[in-house]
Amino acid sequence: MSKLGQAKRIIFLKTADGQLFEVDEPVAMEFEIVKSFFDENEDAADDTVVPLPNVSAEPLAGIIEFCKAHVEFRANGAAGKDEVKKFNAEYIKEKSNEQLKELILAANYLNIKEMLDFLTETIANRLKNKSVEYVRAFFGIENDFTPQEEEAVRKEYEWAFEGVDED
Amino acid sequence: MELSDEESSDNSQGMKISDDESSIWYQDSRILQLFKRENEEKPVEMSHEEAVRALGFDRISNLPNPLIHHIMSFLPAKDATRMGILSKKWESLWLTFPIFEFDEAWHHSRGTQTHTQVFLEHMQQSFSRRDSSHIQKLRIHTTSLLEDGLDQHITACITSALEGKVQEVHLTLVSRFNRETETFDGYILPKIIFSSGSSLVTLILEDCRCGAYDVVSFPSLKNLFMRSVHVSDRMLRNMISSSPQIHTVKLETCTGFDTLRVYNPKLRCLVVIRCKEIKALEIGAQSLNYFKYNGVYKLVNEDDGSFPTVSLCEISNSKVSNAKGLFSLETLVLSFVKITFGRFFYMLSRFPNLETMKLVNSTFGEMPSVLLEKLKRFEVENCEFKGLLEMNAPNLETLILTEGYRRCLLRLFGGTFFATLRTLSLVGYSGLIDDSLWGLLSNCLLENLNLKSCNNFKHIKVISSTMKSLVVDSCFYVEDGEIEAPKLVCFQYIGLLIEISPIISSSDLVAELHFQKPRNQIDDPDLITKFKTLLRNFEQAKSLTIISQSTKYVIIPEEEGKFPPLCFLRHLKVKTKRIDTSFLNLLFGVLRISFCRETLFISVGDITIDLKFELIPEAEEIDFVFCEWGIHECISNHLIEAKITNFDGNSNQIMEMLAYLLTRAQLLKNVTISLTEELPTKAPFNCPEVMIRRIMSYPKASKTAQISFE
Repeated sequence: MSKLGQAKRIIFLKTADGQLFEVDEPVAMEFEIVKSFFDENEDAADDTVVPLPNVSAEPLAGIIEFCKAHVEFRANGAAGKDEVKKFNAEYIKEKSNEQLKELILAANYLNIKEMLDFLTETIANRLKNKSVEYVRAFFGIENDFTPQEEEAVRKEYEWAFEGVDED
Repeated sequence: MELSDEESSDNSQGMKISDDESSIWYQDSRILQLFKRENEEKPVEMSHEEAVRALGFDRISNLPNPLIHHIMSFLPAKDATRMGILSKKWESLWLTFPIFEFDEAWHHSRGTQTHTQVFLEHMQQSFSRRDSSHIQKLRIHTTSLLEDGLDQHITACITSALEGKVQEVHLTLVSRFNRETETFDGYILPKIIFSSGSSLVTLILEDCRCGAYDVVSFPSLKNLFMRSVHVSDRMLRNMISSSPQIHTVKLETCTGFDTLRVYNPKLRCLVVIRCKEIKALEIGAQSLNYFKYNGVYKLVNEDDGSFPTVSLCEISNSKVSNAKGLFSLETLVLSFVKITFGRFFYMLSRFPNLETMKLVNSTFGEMPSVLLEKLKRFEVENCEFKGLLEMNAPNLETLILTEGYRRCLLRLFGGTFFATLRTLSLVGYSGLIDDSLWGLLSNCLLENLNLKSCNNFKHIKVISSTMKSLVVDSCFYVEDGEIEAPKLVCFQYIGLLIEISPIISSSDLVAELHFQKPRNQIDDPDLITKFKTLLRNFEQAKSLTIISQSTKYVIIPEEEGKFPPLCFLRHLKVKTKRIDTSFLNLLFGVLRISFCRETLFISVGDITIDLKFELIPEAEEIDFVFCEWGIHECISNHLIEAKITNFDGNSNQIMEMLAYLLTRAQLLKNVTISLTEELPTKAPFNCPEVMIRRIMSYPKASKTAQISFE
């Protein structure tokens, strides 16, 4: 049974690259996947290690940092206030596009709603007014249109290409 | 999230760690440093990430569609549209994107087609190509009048969207003012919106007309916003009453009704702005929590050439359906209204849960005294009441009175009333006269007091053991003040140089003094004496900011050198527009106020000088108190950082000051000089290199000093 009420329970998470993380229970329970793991395995021992085969250590560390702060904000009744915005802005400022992508992939796998909302908006902000070529490079998307096909689609959405940033 | 088979088998592996192994894991984890990657040891198996990378997967494109749609939903419509060109996968993502946005302004005429025709063709094509079985949002924005059958196309789009269970519809359409009927000829909302809007959660209508329909049903509607919509009395009432889930209704510049009838047990928030035809209100909304009513005012020029008068939106009648009609109301904001009948304030007493009331630019008739048991915040700005406003608010915490050209005489009473008041702000308020104000202050446990443009008293007398913040702003008749507030942490004074004594404050006090020049332009002969006396009050302060037009009000001249500096001050800021002396004299004059144990900031116009000191131990201060050489001592042995910004390179005075700092300061570590973008073309430093070379050539007392230019 997931012992949400008990303080100081530690959850062990093992990443794809073999790292072991110790995470405070309320923080780990932000991860829907961990929560359902314990819901489904009610008799799991306290020192059970939850494997996360789709997440490596670096994004997980970033995610734990984010969730930890947000769990605290909620506990302090600061949710939705300026200090949360300030934290979020500070948190994302240092992240490269590559790190951001790793974070959203990991957050999607772990299924953390609050963080996904934040990351989707952040990614959108970085893509605002950018050219098709920029977005392809940003996501690492391979263009599988033939030049003729692409030309046709571009023509159809001609109006959407006005005023795009030059990068 | 559902686990795939592969993942669940991984999970079960994780579960099957033998007891021995798990105890090793456990021990390991105790010594494992959190968040630190094991770089030394290569993971035994290839990580999933690496595997995926090796396969050349584009993993972002494989995120669940709703998540990608979520990213796209934050993008402006044009950007979202371009996503369809990234790749074939993204084209399908675009075709299933559930937000449909059309803006006529995006399209241009093409060949023989007008831009409206291009726009219409695009709308049609979108509905035929894109998946419209699940629509989250439909937004249509037109810029031309409803010609070329535009209205039929809009109706067709709305119909398709309603079939696709659309949740949000936002229409911004152009309407034309019809001089004959004095109404706007706009798009007439089709019947289908009202009869088949079961999926609608948000409906935003701008510049439309509502037809009169019998069947109105919005079972899911939560938000209804209408701007410049013509809607009949009955239809509006029907729309609000037929939305059992409604949360917010906002009406702005709407016409077609003179009585606003709002009957809905679920409505939480009602905002009515500048609906000029409203004469009466009828409200029965027992869940209503927030009600804001902004009337219309217009300047009416009298024919006789006299001053224009302001006409306010007059509400001649209002009705609350029954005793519980506005039971939950917590916030009431009224502005630009004229309510002359007493009933309204009689009604006030039937808002038992009212916590915040704000009345702005309004005129009210005579009203009986009311008891507002739960009222915590009361703001009155430029309002007029017939007779005395008597209010009993035993739990009031914040009172803000701003006087304009309307006069308001207020009497607040009630046994324990003053005991709960924490914040009082009086702006130009003369309703409370001298003694009664200070009496009030001494009776209550006020924490914040803000007096602005109060011209009805000459003496300030604040004696309070609870006061934390005090602002006296532009009260030009004030001659002196008596302030005893041991808990004061924030003090701001804007006005003439006056005598205030004594300020008894905590050591956390942050003070700001903003001196204005007397109106008669004659400088006070006792200026320096008064200035010194005033400064003495900030002996205990942590931070002091002095702002003035000229340097006269911010420095202590050399001949006044016997001024004992403020020993406990950690941060001193001085801001002035122009300088009447040399920069070096300004620096000395400011240092005579305090030796600044941590930071000193001086700004003259755009130029700023930022100095950081090593904390001067308190014991040492005794040595150089009263002494002119203390200033030099302070620079020589404590200055560690200096930063000058916006330096145009053309001031010998600043060069002189820099030379002084460099030759004196033995502990100086960093000097940063940031130059203005436009450097002068005239001598002496017409090219920055000359200036930089000269600065570098100054002898330096500190061997480690780094000078950098930005």
